[in-house]
Amino acid sequence: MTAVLELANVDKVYPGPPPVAALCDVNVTINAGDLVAVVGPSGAGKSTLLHMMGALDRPTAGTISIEGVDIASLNDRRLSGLRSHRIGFVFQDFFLINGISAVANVAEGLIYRGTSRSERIKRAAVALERVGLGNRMRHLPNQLSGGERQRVAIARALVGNPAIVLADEPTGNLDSHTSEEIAQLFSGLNADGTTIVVITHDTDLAARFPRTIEMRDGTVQDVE
Amino acid sequence: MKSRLRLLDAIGLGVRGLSSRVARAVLTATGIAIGIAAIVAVLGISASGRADLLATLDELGTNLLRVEPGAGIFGTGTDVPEEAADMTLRIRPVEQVTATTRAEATVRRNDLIPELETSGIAVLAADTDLLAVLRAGINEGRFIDAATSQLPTMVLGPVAAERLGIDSLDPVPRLFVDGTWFTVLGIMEPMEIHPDLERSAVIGYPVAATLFETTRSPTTIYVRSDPDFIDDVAEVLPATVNPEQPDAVQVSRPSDALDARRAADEALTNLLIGLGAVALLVAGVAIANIMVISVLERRMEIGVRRAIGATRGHIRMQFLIESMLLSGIGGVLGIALGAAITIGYAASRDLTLAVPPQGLALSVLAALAIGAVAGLYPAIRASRIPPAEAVRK
Ligand SMILES: Nc1ncnc2c1ncn2[C@@H]1O[C@H](COP(=O)(O)OP(=O)(O)OP(=O)(O)O)[C@@H](O)[C@H]1O
Ligand SMILES: [Mg+2]
Repeated sequence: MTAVLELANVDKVYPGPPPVAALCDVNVTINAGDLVAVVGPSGAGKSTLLHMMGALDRPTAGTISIEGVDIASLNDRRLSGLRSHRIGFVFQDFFLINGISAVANVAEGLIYRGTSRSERIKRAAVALERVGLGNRMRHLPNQLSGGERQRVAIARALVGNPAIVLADEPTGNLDSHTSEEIAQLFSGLNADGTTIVVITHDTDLAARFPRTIEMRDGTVQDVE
Repeated sequence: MKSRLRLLDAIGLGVRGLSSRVARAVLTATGIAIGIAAIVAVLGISASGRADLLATLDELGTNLLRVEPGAGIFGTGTDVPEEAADMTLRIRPVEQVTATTRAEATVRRNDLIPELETSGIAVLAADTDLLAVLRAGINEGRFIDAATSQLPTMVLGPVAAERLGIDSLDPVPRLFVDGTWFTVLGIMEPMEIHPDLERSAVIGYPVAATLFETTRSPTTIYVRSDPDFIDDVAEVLPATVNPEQPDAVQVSRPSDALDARRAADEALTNLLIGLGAVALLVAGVAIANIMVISVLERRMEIGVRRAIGATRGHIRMQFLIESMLLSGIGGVLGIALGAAITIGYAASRDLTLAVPPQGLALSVLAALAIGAVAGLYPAIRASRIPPAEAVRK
């Protein structure tokens, strides 16, 4: 199995005052095709871990390799390039751009690749079909339900065929029924070969995933 | 693997950023529009005004000298030699000469009006080529010629005509000059730089000599000279026209008044442009202010864009473009407004419209530059927001 992500002895200290050690000596490997749940109490460092995995922030110590590339060797531009091509983020609050349609929001996921507009829209439509929103292309974010908005956000993360999708509490704002649908969507996408890491507080949801990483006080307690 | 943002997409992001807050964009652009409109209007109006001024200067020529040979001491020129005008023709660069002599007479509408009430209208004896040398014209009728110079006929300056209540030559008006009725042959055009002639009644030398004992000793001599030697001519004129009392001779250049007005116009124009520039500066600060607020409000968007692959440079560019669009729109609106003001003003004042095209191009560039400068700090600030922090709740 090829490792998509490797974290070795990763520390993250947020400079204070007082300084907060959000991650302490974390060692995690994510392989291609993994579907991983990250669980743990609030403040355990889950979001911090996800930001490290997605090259959105740099560790204080330790090494992070994405598809074999040590991100310490990359400058901001290369790191951004890596994010635009290889990583898809999904956030709890969806973070869609208001005032533009669902398909335009999804297409935005390709804008920093220099893809032409027509090609972006074409691929965005495919991604929306894939998350089951083929009938909501032209709707504005505020015309969609929470679950639908999160699907749009997931489509935006998927549209560029990233090596890994990182989701930070994607069902945190959704009811249990809708959460279930999103969980099924992730399972389906994973079955098609997408590597996915999902932070969740929902133990039922985590239990359905083949692998769970449990965090506590900045350390990885348990890797199943 | 590189992040790449097409220029067209970057502009699209800027347009979208503005269109999501239209009212705010309009208000902010208005500041620039007002500043640019002020500058364009000032430039346009002064250029139009100056075009006419320059045309007048051109038409009248700057090579005319006005000589008052006896102005210094007695003011009447009684001591001035009768051949003074002819003497000036001996100065090589002098091309044309004509003279006037004040006659000891007064003009009245009729013989019932007391002699003292003469409305300040001077009776001048003049050569028949006076208007030709001055390059002035006749509004109505004709000027005196060799024949009519002998007869009791006169031509009035426009102010004199008005004061005497004469606005038409039909029926032929007649005026009373010291016991003789004079026929009015014509009315001269306004002569901005010869106000004394505008207020006078011009008659021929022969009739003046006959009726009022006016000599040829000139009160005023007008000299046209080769423009290249005008200063030299001015220097030798006093000794030429009045060898005995050169100090009493006053030489002036009537076009200087127009030149001075042009200089004053330019100074005023510069002042107004300076005020416009201050308005632009204030507008620039307003743009910077709005952009800083916009950056604060759009932290989440910045975070998402960084997460989907925007580099710091892309974020910087997006906000810079937005700011330049803002000022650019203001600039275009300002030019339209300024041009409209200029056109309206020129039309109402009957001025030749002269909107300098380089001025317009420069205004747009200035507006864009202001947008770039004003947007720089907010754009840099936006680009420095750490992405991981921006996506936190
Ligand atoms: N920018 C920051 N500066 C200082 N401390 C921070 C910063 N960001 C996070 N922290 C701290 O780091 C620790 C880990 O935060 P993190 O957001 O990773 O937790 P989490 O597991 O995602 O929590 P939650 O489930 O509430 O989202 C917390 O104690 C938090 O207060
Ligand atoms: Mg979190």
